[in-house]
Amino acid sequence: MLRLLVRRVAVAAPVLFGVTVLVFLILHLIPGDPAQILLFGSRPTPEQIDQLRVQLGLDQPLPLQYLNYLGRLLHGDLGTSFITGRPIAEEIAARFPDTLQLTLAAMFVAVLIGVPVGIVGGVRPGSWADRLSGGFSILGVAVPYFWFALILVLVFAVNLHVLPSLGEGSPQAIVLPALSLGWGLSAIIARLLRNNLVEIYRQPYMQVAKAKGLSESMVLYRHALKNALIPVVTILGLQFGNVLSGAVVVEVIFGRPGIGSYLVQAIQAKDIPAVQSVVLFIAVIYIVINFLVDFAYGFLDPRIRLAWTASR
Amino acid sequence: MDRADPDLSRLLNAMADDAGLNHLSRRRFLKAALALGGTALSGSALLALLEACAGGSSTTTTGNTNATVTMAVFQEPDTLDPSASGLITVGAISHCIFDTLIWDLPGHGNNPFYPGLAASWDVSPDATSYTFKLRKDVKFHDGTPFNAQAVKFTFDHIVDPNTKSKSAAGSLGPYQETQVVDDYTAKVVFKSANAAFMNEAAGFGMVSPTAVQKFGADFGHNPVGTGPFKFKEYIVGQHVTVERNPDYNWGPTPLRTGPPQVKTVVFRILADPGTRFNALKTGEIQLAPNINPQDIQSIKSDSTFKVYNVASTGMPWNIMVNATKAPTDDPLVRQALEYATDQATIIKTLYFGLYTAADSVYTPLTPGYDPATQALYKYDPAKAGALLDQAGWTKGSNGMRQKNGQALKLSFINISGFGFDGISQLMQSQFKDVGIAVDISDQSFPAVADAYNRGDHHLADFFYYDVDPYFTRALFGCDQIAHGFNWEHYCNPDLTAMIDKANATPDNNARTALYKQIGQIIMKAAVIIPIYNSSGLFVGTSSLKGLAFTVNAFPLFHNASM
Repeated sequence: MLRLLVRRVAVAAPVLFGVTVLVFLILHLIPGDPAQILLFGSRPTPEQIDQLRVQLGLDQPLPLQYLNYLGRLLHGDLGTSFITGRPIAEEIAARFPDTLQLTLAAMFVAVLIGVPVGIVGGVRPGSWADRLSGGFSILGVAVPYFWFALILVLVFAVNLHVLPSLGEGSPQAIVLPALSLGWGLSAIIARLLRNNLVEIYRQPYMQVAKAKGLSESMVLYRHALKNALIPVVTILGLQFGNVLSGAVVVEVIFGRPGIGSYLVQAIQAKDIPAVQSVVLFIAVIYIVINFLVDFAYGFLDPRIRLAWTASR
Repeated sequence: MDRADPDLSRLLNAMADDAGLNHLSRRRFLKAALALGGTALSGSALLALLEACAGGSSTTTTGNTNATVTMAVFQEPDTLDPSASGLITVGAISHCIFDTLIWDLPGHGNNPFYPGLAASWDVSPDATSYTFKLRKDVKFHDGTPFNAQAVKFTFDHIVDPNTKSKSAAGSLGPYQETQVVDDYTAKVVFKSANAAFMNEAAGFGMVSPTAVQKFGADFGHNPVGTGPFKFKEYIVGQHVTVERNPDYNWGPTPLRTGPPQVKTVVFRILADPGTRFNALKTGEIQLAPNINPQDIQSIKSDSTFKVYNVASTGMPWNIMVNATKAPTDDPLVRQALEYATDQATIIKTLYFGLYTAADSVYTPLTPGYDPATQALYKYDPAKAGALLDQAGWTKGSNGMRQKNGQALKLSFINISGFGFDGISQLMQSQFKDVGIAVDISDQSFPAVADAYNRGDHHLADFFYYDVDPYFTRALFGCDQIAHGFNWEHYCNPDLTAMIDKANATPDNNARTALYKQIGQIIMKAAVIIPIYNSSGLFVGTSSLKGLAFTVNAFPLFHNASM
């Protein structure tokens, strides 16, 4: 298990390294003097610009600057927003719970819709129910979630007045944002589950189960679904990062607080340190989640664990 | 040169703020247009609207006294300290929590200024000091009495480097000190003449000295003023809420002197114009700035909504023309450009006709605007052609002009995503119609400022908000070339002296007359091509009544009712 952990870390580390390099370079790839850009709009004197240049270490060689940047990151210092003058770590901490709430709600919606739709299609392949399920999946993958979000608002908030158009302020406010963000994933889950079920129903052990005289639902729940859901769990984990990044757009559409709407506003306000840190934060979450999923996958599925052990 | 720095920063700030409004997509570009809006209403109609909105100085209540008004704001506040903030969004919130010494309320009679926290005021003949006699019955929300000491504290707080003022310190100008003459008399003294201060004075919110000392840097999250509403909460990323100040009794007479009618105002942070529009339609909010022009078209005749198109002060959106670099160093060529620009088509094409065409260095609401400039350069491509012929630039077989084998070609350095992308492209085609080739190169801030300062361009983007025409000093002063904001590279020492003289003239009529002359000189020199007049554009539900606006188009909720 320890060796497995080490191997996974060895894969994640270079990605993390690449992300920090890219984020670090954002400031340097923008034309103009970074110190001037950072002080833009705050009445800097030439002395203040020079002072900031020294303070940021911009007078040092680039690799050394990068190492210093890494050092600050390791101490949890994400810099200071030059719009609000507050530590960016605090700004992110104040907003991330909202983003996490939306992401989890969207995953919940995805499972709630995706699993039943997948089962309906999987147990009776070729039936009209299967075709409907397939149509749903194609639509779910093809329709962009931001467009779907706008349609949901127009229908349920503007025309029917049954739900608020803003994604914050009341308990039911999360419904539309979660639905628009989770719907694409529910289509993926439905399709995956349906195909797995079709595959599993062809397996000899399923014949045995039926021959034992188990009812159809017992066969489905005890044998088919258990196996068919393993890849679904993986997909859920792997898609977590995608859903999280999708939250950026959904938050803005629904006027919800969160790191997504923070990122968009930081870009608009040219708050470069904030943009850097939010991008880095999202990337790190992505990497950490993928790492955990990879790890958990091997841990949960004995076949994969065996395969890993055998290969060593 | 001491004086130039704050001006410089004001320009940068105005641009930074608006660069924040404007982004690369067409949608955001249009939204940016609406950040400033246009005057579809004529001046007199606007006046009538504002008169109708004002409920007079009564304290009678017409609406629900428990009502909550929710207004969308398009960006997160940087800080709620009016002395420190550099964002437009904070202006609307500040006017709820804080009062100013005087009020500048256009459309409420001929007197531009109304008593606020100051009952009366007096300007020294050389415009270097201003004496304010203060009201004696005013208390801050935390119980601190408002007096001359608080006025001194506020101005000292603005210029304190620790405040990191992004806008107020620039507006304050060459501040020297505030003298506490007695408990209720404060004398604000400047290092040099600063006639602009009278107009600017309506913009400084008086802060509670006790609260600033208690909260320190956190005052921006715990603002305490004397305004009609008390600060209640600021949830980062979500909203700022203010609640009625029941003790309020010192409001501006044209609006409402007593406590406000509505109990609560919520400023909800909604960055997307489409989101704001949907929330207006569902009734979740009652007022929103910067709605897309096409959405405004769709509700124009809908009686459940009201469109507020509020004229503002400052410099119109315009193109600066380099007067030093050939061929625009020739006044005939510059005049030809003025005649070749069809503002009406630009406004119709890009902004659905929501703006008025500009014809001066000032917007019509700015002191010093002279309607005579309207007749100066009416769109006339034939006249543009004749001027170019006169200058020796004749049409070749391809329809483009040349002189001595050299093509007439101008370099238009456009600030990308700044709100001029569409304007530059339309002007390129309009200039082509008269035989002038234009090369557009898109650059971004702040690098573009270097190019403008070097004078690489023939044509440059510009606009500026200010309540006083003294902004011309930073844009047209001879000493502002190459390192300031004189991006027309135009030096006329007489003009510079005249602006300095205007800013040392405290008499309003005499000053305005000087600024009229200044505007005429600039327009005759043809160093800027005015495009459209900026204004504040808001959409509200018709259930919201009694809204008023400041001279720079910030909404006031003193007499708002639901």
